[in-house]
Amino acid sequence: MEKQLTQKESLEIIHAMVQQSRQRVGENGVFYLLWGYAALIAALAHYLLLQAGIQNPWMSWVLMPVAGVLSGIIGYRKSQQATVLTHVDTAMVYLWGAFLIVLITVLSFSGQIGFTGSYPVVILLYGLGTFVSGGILRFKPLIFGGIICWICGIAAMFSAFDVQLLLMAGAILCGYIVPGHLLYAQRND
Amino acid sequence: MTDFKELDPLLHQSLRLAVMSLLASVVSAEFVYLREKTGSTAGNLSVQLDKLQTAGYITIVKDFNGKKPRTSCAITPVGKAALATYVTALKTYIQL
Repeated sequence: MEKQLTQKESLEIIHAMVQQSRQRVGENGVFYLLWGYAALIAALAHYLLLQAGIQNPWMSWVLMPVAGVLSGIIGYRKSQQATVLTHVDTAMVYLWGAFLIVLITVLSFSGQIGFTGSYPVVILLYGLGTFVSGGILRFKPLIFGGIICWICGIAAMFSAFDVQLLLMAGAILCGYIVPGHLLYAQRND
Repeated sequence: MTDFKELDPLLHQSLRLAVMSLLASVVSAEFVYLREKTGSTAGNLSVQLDKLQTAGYITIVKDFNGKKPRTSCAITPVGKAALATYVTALKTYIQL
């Protein structure tokens, strides 16, 4: 014979289970750090190579596909080990999937709009990714980081190409690296 | 003692209610996740999951993750509606 529940016990069970299913958002930190550091190094290297007058200074961005493959491997392993799929997980996959499609499109056709025109758009796009993911994860440093990216993106529209690269590096630092470290520090909470 | 006969008897059991509450807040969850979060035994959990599936409250998909068998559970729209009705009924009891 099953024990009869009281209404208080029923509510306690519901409350306890909803608390149990709360996401550990810190586990997402590694992706921001991976992408952030790769993009920061690429942007600064691009700037330095440009200043040094070296041919094809944009070659530094070859780091990004490497970071992409690495984060793909980490993401796949995490999904294989995960025993639960949350709405947050699904929302993040759609957000970063859309981000990647727009990023690749803008970079592929940057010949059409020019590098000087496309980099501010990329910075604004970085801001969109961090701002929205900050909302999904309810993590304020990402939301603030996203706003800083947008300010850098607007400033980049009025700047020379070499300054745009520095603004991009600043945007990545505020939008990805700092929030990424803060998020990563929470991974075991 | 308050009369509970209007509450869905399928949900008015601690483990089934716990499972439904967990599944209501995620897309899907594996058997091991449900067992860990509810602190139940595999045997009891298995029996209660079967009852919820028979009622159409959850779906159970069995497949393989590499070579390891995997059982994934997800709440159905019927299950969500039943849980919402249960919670509403519970609220009215508490207000009395």
